Amino acid sequence: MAGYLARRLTLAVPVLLGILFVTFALARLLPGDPCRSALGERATEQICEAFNERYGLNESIPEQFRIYLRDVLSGDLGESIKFGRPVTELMVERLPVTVELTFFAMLFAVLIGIPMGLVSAYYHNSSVDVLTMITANIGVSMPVFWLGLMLSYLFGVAFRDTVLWLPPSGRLSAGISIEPFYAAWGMSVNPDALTLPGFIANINTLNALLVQDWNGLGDALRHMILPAMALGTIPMSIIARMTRSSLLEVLGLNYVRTARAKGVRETKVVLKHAFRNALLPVVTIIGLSLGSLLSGAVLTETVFGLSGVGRILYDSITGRDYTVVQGFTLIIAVIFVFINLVVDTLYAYLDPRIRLE
Amino acid sequence: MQRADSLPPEPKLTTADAAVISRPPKSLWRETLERLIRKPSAILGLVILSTLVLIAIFAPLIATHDPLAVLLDVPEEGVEKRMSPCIHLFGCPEAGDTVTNIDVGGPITASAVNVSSSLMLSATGSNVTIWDTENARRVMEMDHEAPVQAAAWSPNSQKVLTASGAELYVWDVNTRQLNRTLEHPGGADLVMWNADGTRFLSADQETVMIWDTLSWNAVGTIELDGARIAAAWNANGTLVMTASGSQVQLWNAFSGTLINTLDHDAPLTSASFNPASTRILTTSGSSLYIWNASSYQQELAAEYSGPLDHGAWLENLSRGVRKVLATSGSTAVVWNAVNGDLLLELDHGAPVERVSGSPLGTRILTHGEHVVRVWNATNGGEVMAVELEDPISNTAWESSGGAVLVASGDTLRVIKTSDYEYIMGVDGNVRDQFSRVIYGTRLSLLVGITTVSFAVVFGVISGAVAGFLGGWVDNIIMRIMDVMLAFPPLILAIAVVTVLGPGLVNALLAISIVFIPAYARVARSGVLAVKEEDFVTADRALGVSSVRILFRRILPNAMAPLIVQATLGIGTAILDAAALSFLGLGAQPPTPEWGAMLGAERNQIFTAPHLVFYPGIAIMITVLAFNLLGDGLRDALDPRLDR
Amino acid sequence: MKHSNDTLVDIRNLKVYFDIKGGLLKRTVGVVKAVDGVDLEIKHGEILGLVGESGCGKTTVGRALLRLIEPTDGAIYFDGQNLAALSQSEMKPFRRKMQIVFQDPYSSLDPRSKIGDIVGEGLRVHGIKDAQERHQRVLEALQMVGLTEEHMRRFPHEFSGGQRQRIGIARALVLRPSFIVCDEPVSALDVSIQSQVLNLLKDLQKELDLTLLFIAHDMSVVEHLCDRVAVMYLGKIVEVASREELFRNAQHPYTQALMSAIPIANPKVRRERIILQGDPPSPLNPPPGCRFHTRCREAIDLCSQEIPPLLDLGSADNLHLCACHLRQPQPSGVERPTTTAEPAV
Repeated sequence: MAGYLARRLTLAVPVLLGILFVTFALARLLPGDPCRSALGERATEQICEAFNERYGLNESIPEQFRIYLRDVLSGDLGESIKFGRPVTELMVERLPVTVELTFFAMLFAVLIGIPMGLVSAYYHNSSVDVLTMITANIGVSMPVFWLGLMLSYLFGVAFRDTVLWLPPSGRLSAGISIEPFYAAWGMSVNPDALTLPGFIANINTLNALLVQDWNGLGDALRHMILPAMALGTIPMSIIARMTRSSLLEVLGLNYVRTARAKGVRETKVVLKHAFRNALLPVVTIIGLSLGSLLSGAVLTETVFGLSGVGRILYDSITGRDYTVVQGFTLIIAVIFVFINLVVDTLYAYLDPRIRLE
Repeated sequence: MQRADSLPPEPKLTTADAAVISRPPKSLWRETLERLIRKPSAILGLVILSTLVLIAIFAPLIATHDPLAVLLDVPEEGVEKRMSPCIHLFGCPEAGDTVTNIDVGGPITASAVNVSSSLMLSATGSNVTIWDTENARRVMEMDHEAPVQAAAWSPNSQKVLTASGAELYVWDVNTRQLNRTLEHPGGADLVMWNADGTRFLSADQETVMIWDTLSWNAVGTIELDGARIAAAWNANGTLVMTASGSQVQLWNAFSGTLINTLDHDAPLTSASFNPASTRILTTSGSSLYIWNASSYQQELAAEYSGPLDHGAWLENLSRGVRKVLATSGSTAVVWNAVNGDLLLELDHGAPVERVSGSPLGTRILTHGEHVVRVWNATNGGEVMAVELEDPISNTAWESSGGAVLVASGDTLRVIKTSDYEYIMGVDGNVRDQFSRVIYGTRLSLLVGITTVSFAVVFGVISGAVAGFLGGWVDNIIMRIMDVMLAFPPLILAIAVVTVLGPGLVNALLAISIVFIPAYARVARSGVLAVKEEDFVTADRALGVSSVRILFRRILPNAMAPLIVQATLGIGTAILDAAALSFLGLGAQPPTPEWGAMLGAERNQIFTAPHLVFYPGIAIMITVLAFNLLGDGLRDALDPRLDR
Repeated sequence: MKHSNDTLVDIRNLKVYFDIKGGLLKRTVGVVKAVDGVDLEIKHGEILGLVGESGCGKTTVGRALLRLIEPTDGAIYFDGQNLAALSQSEMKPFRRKMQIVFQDPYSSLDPRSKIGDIVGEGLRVHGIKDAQERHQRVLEALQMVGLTEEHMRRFPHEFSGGQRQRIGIARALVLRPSFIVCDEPVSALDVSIQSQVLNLLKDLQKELDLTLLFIAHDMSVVEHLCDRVAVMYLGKIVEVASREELFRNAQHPYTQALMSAIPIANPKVRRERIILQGDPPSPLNPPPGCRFHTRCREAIDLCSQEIPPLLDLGSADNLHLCACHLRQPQPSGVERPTTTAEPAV
């Protein structure tokens, strides 16, 4: 197992190097002059000269890459041209939003998707099965941004003045703020620096839980429901389909037939004998979807007015904020690679046959 | 050949072999297709897909409008909302449902609707009130000293002209003030603006006065020989037409001098211009005539079995509709305006007081004393019938043709019809949403297929070469693919589009590039699997070249998973292209692309959800079709997965 | 090794090693010696059987012979030309003369090509541009194996296993080769079909004056068909003799064990069956000395120390080669030729 992990880690090294190169190249390839786009069209030559000097933009490209590599390895992702703040600071602010969104989306997907698949497989070829699979098929075919808009219309407008009303945008209602847990606990933490407490405090629901602000928690959760549903629908459908097909395959295996022949109740056959083994491909799919959720996050965050990673990436790419583009694509790609690694390792752990290859 | 005879008897074909031979030769593709069409979901996918292809091909015929044309010159407040057919999920009014019901508070003596149908006015006794059609709210009150006989909207809806006693009142709708009063001796019972609102006419039974709105003077007065039957402006305001006795007369609108007289054998019952004012329709006795309005020649004459009371045009030249209507007792008659053929006879069941054609020329409205009916102008079918207790005083088409406005007794009503105009409403730029959605099909199918083809070609070449050659080539190619796969696809696509610059073509390129690794991986694993098959070794033993082995032998056999992946990939490509367009990086306005349409109207989600709803549904259906087909193909190509 | 004029194929010290890659940097961590120093001579117009357990390297010998697998070392003389020294393009003219028939008739035919194209591919490659001529020659080849013109337009999945194998043979025959490697051509077929295909091969061999290397693991098939038989164990030849000699007088303990496993169609005849203990050792790490000594019931100490050379035990006109320390040529039985022995790996 350790050998497998080590091999996977070594394989990740050239990929990570490639990612560093691509993020760097991507940022340099963005058309337009970063100085003019940051300081306005009327910035003078001298001002731009000083600007380029400050951000190291008048070095040669290989030199820039060298400096970039050195800085990244020492944990310095540079300073945002537009915000004038270190990229790491922005990450403390933005990353938690996306992490929270992704978590709840995944939670939604798993909590709905797996039971859907189970029911579908249990009532194989019945109308329930057909209906569930139609739902799942529609679920994977929906544009995320459209679903988000429709949900915010449905719950924000059509259900206005009913108990079903949900806030269609933002993270917290106006007038509600949750005290950072480190302040409540009397810890001294620099809220701007890239620290774990700062990161956790920006995950509203978790922070509210830590300081036991039930009112704040409720509000934060209510704001999470629609974005999580919008983002979670595609993985939900994929998980439902995967659970169903993998369960059906396992149900056809001899050991399950043996269990049935022994007179084990069908519910027990499905839940106890088959389900655990059927879960293996589902775990992989969950991992793979987790990565692709980041794509959907850009759209979901745009629709629901959440300032997360996706949103800042889109803004900085279109606004030519080099350092932010570099920093955030890098962190996303690294997270992506890391998730894949975890999934593969988990899979290898669950299925010893994989390790032999 | 003697060979077979010298062989031992065993190699002779058995009966089972003979049975095999009697079947026609069948390729694997054909078998796959046969398996495919046994799957209901795949059939559904194929059906949807072929429908979409047909829609894409015949988009110009299906679309009711030009997808890029702005429908009205001035987009008015709330116009898109009113024209929306609403989302059926939340309960939509159907044909015959009253969507607005205004109790005026007294018997309506006159009523009128403005050009965009956003405002209605009603006259009750000496009071005239302007109502908001949408929410039945009172917009403006206009009090007069004497009972009001007539009222009219100026073409830009800024002014209202009323006739009360011997006075004409000009009201300013913006300031809600009386602008001025003018005098029409004898008291007008008809007031009418010309097309640009620079002039208007007022008429009593025997006199027609022409007014100018710059000087507010009467520029001409027309004295008729007999009782007035009709009076009207032509479209550009140069002519005034009047009808009295058995004569239609045309007058110069600037000088008030007679230009021409069109004589009829019998007394006239009606006379009217067509919408473009190129022709005049008259009814007289049991005959119907069409005159050319510039040469004053009679172009057409038609006879009917009964006397004709009221004529009207049913014309929409842009859609090729050229018909005329007339009423005879309780029947409405439809003729072809070009050759005079009698097309339809619609039985209203009671004497028809008025007949009118919808703005698009697709529906006919008739009303008697108590019943309003709407008919299909093509096949004569009845679309709706509404019976009202109070006598009907006036009916008019709503400007979109999606509703009729009915005044009866004390009440003004807006009654929904199901005219298929603006099936999906109009967007923020007042373009027909339905036509745009229809044209969007072309783009989406094109986007899906081109991006995936591009990605498949490059992915398959790189993946196949990597798998076939192996070694360091394989290593380098697949490491590059790994790096590309390390980025979330949409973010990579956004970055690529930003580098290339926004636009549909660049968005397609970006999506293709992002898709390449997926196909490369599938192609590579397919090639690796097939490479070791004996039939490939057999080719090598024969001395077949590597290139030929790869492209003629290995790739066709590694194709099945690629086809599945590509079909499913088309759906994803359409979604991603829509997402890029939604973010403003793909198709640029005014291109009718679904994602771009959604993006442009996303701020209207709370006021006009249908503008977001329909393009999204269209995307979903298209993607669903490809997904169903892809799933079906996967099962058909690999029967082991059939479950 | 004797070399006479009637030798068509002469394999000398053929070695085929496969690298096992592993570890972090995909370094070679081991070598599978699939074929480890094989000497074999095939005479014009004979059917040479090559038998052994699965995994002993007999298929690898067959494929290395046709350069379908690159030999690591050694020489392959075909008509006096060393094939092992040729490039793949220089190999091409020789491919007309030597062909292969595969074991599995299901994977050896491209499921997406028609029979006519499958059989005609060789003609196309070897420059027969004229479609008419190709058609004629494909038809001839198909008729030779008992198929008809009608079959040319069909796809492989429309045929039974036996018919498919005949198509495979037709594909090999269409170039009119002089030498065909038959890689267990009947072992994947039903027993009832096996004899059809075997008889067909035998007839064709006579008719067309073919030389066959017939790879098999079934001794009864070999007995039915072959003129001479070579027995292989774990990458090495242990015994070569004419069919009569081998079946009458098998020398090597391994061959004897194989012989004892042939079922006899007479229930009254009782024969001692030699049951080999355990699995053959891994070719990744073959035992030192005689490779068979771990399972040989006659093994002595010497067997685990020195590799026995292949020596002729027979008479001048009846060659009988055997590689065993315990079977020495008469009368010079005590002499132990160590010159050809290799160091144990």
